[in-house]
Amino acid sequence: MTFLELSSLRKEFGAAVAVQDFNLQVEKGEFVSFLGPSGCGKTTVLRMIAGFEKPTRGRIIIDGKDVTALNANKRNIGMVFQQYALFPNMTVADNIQFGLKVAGADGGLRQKRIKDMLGIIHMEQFANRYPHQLSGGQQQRVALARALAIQPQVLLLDEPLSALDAKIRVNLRQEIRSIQRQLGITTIFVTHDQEEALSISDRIVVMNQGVIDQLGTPLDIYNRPQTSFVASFIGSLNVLQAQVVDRSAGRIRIDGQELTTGERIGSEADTVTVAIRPEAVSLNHANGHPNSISAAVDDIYFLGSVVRVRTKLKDQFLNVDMFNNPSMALPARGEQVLLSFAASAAKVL
Amino acid sequence: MASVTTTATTTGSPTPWVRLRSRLSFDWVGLVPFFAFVAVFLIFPALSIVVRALTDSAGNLTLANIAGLTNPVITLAYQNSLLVSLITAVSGSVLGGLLAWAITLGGLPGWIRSAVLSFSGVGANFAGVPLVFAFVALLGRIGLLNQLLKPTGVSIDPQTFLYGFWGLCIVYTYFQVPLMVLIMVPALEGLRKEWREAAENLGATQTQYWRYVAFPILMPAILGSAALLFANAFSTYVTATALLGAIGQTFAVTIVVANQFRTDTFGDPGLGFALAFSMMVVIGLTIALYTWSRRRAERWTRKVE
Ligand SMILES: Nc1ncnc2c1ncn2[C@@H]1O[C@H](COP(=O)(O)OP(=O)(O)O)[C@@H](O)[C@H]1O
Ligand SMILES: [Mg+2]
Repeated sequence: MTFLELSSLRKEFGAAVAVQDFNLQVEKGEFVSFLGPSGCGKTTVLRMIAGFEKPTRGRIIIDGKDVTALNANKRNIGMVFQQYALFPNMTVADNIQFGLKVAGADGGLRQKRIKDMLGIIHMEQFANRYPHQLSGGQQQRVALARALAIQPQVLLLDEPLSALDAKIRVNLRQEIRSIQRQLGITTIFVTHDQEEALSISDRIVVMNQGVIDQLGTPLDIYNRPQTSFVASFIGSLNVLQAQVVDRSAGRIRIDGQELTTGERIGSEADTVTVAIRPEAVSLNHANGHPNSISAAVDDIYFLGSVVRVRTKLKDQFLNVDMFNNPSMALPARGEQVLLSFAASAAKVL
Repeated sequence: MASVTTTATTTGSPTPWVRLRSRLSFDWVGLVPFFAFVAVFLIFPALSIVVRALTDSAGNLTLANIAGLTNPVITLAYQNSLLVSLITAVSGSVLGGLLAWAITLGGLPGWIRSAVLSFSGVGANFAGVPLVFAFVALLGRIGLLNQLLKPTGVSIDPQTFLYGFWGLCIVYTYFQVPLMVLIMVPALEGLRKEWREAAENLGATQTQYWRYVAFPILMPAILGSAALLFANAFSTYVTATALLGAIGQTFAVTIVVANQFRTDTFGDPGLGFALAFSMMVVIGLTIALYTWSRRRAERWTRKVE
């Protein structure tokens, strides 16, 4: 059952259109991420849901109730900002109980909620600290607790981890996800980091220039990008320009070398964009693959568990990812190699 | 030889001498003019005031000068000065605070903000004879107000409100308001949008946001500027004499002090020093009160375990 529904949302700032024709239905308890480059309108959609921006057009419905005209302080939505949003003049405990206090809740309930929330974020011993005495990661956990303390219907997070160190970022996103599961709260998480979105979301909304480019599960988005924008934005996909050779057979030519794709090519096309995942390509391993093309090794990047070999065709580059294996023999830079991949791995966008 | 000493000091941790020398390094050189300035123009005159307040013309220790402060003329001048300072500190803080709020958070067009700020920079320093002249030209017996009122037959006598206690309050407020604006604008601009939105998001009304979040955060700045405004009014001299002229020879403490050092009147420099000393005490108390209340207001900025 749909719990949060955004229908035909549009937001204009003067002559500029920040968001247009935004339609989304979120299930109760679902974790949905908005993913897209900076300036694509993610924050604007979130702020419309929170009530900080009034939509130019469209409706926002939460649990069957139209809240489009409701003031932000009447919406019962929790929000976590990018940073610096804790009240600096209040302790952690006072920050957490703020929502209950302004609602007139009695002291007993407030104390209990403070205790519960501090337990959830594992910060019991920090109740009397002031925000400036906490690390960035701790501050964001308190901000999360403060937002959850009012038991909101929907939780909104606007790039809550982007100001943190890489390691804390990974730990905290897992913590956010597990708290969200534990409470079953409907959540929208904004990020420009595709790895973050892919790792914790039920579904991802990929946005570009104010519109939804693709909506799907992380697997969908990663494996079946529907537009060249999604393909280039998600993962480290190789996106190549190709000429069509034989439409019905799916034959195309990239930098002078012919290969086969598993997909149909639109009848009107004579050049197409082809996406190939770097992990779908194998190096010097030509048995049974319909596609084998030659390239020169341009550079080699060691990425930890993965080694990325950047090869050059004629003008275009193609990355090949291999699992790091201590016994593997890496090609030398400048060496000619054979790249092979299944026809189905070459997606025409 | 030099190389021998270097090797000796580079092995192991720096010797106390090296550490001392690095602590007294160039970082401190820049402060020398400041300390010299403070010594010559603040500490020395202050000490000399204290000494002279407590000695007679022959240099003997005496409390006679201090006792002279209980003179009814002086206590009345004190009462006037303290009241005017208090009233204009409050009126300046309230009016200036509202103005600062209006041009920062009030959603007014940007040019108003820069116009008010430019005016405040000038207005905060507009005092003395020109300021009084401007007010007299506006509100005086043949001032603009009375000229405009002429056709109606009404005439407002400035004697009753301009050349006296309330006149002083009005004229002082003129420079107190812009001073407050200059101090409060940066403080108001330091209020983060996220705080207001977070409060609203958690269900707070505007009033609750101001009461629990914005006002407590602004409190140190408000206290600081109120103290500054008070001291500013208390130590004002030229504006007061210019406005009050001959009738105000004993009206405010600063005027009474100055009169003790004039050669054409029956001045008593000993009393003058005692008065100056008492003014230092008032300013000192203001600073102490301010420091104490500010420390209370910004507990949350200090580390407490
Ligand atoms: N208050 C505003 N006034 C004018 N333009 C705005 C405002 N807020 C956002 N925008 C514009 O709307 C677009 C989307 O912004 P935003 O939603 O913040 O993007 P994102 O969060 O994806 O980085 C941007 O082009 C931005 O400049
Ligand atoms: Mg944003």
